[in-house]
Amino acid sequence: MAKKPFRSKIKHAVYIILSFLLSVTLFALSICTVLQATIFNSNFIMDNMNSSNYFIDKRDEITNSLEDLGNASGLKEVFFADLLDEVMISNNTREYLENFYSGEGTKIDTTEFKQTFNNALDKYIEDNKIKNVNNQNRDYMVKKAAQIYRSSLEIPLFSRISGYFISSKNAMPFVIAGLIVFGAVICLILFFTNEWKHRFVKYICFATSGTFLTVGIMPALILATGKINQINLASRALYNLFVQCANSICIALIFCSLFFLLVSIGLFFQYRRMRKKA
Amino acid sequence: MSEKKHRHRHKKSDGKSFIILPIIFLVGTYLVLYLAFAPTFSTFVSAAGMFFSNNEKNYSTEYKNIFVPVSENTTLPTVKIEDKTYVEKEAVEYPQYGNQFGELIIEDCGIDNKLFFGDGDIALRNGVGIYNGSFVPGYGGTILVAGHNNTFFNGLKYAEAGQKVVIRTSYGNYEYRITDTAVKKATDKSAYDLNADYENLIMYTCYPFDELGLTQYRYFVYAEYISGQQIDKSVQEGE
Repeated sequence: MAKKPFRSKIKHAVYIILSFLLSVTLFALSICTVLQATIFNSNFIMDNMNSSNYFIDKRDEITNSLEDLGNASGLKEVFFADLLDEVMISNNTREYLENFYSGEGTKIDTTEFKQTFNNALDKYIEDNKIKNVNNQNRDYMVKKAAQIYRSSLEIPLFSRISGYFISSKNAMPFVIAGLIVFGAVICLILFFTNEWKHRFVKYICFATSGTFLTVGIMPALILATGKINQINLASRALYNLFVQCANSICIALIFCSLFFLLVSIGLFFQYRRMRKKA
Repeated sequence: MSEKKHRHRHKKSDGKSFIILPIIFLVGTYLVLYLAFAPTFSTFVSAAGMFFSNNEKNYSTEYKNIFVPVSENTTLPTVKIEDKTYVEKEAVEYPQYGNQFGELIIEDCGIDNKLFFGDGDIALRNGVGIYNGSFVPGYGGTILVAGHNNTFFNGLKYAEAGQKVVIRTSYGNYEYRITDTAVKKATDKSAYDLNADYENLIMYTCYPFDELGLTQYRYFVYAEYISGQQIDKSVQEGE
């Protein structure tokens, strides 16, 4: 049995390490690209809000909370029946998200809500001929109602992570560019240092099939265990939104993984074709 | 022949590496990630434990009703401690947060409400609720009951000293007598004593009644314990 010379073994080991580095780079690139297209994209959140009935669920939740306030403040449930509409909630949420994504803070403007609430209250008092109204208590109730509205629209932890989020979002295009350059450099090294080009294809194939497994295993495990559905969120609207977003991200990663699988299969057959020729 | 054999072996090992190496890369990548995040790994695991539970969250607004009225003649298993008779604690089904476990009745005020453990939204939407930092009847402490002034506790405006309050639970019926009423600020902590070592009932709601608007005052109704079987609170070894 003919043994490989020692130098050839070292060379092979170096190429394997380079393939591994390429695999890690492609893995990081996949994650960053998916994050850039999903979490760091305000349209992704808005689209998921629309498709998960977020605004309708949110309207019902806020109405329920306001009904509880009404029970403590002398307002009957009928007062809240048509008080809120999805358009106002949608507009306020869009503004909130745009501010968050542009790094302008996480404040929710309740001016329109207060105006709507006060107008409805004036009409209710007039229609029901209510005399027993204390202006101070009325103002306190409107303030509390606005507080309920604001806190219902806020997304938990958004204000806390705002700083890190914006920094990561701004850095992401540079990180992606850096990873592309690094990956390209490894490919060039593999290409120019291998006399036999089928070997170059082989090492790239190792890297892409490694990336296929690395990118695909986590989302596959998460989806298979159903852990996403077990998150503790007080709001059903937010829960539905979270589950939908997390599933979309997992599916995007699985598509990425499948892309690398296809590339690996293609490279494998290319390698065999080139090797036969060589 | 020997070269042919070598080629065949080489081909076989080459084929294997297309399967083994990607698996090694997978393990290697996650090992690198683990080593990189090792110092913060436990923090992430703890945070995940906080955000995720073992079951899907139930968003139903339904509540569990564990209240089964006991008749006056019903006898529950008892124990004697220092010449006093107590209901055996094993015979009592202690309510969980949000359970309806009894009824609160003040005939003179026209109050006959479901009684919940916990004063959350679902409880106050359906009846009155005991603050879960206080005690349930029979435990010899302060029972702090909340209700909305425009719904289930509207009748408290008719409360007067001497009126009888009845609390019926699955483990016994309890009677209290109203001793006093008072209007206090919502933030006034002196309005109740949750550390009292004697059984007493405090009911409260927003004040003034029938007014539009959210008030900063609360109407408190204080009642003393009259009758009802006390529950054994003794702690045994291993409990």
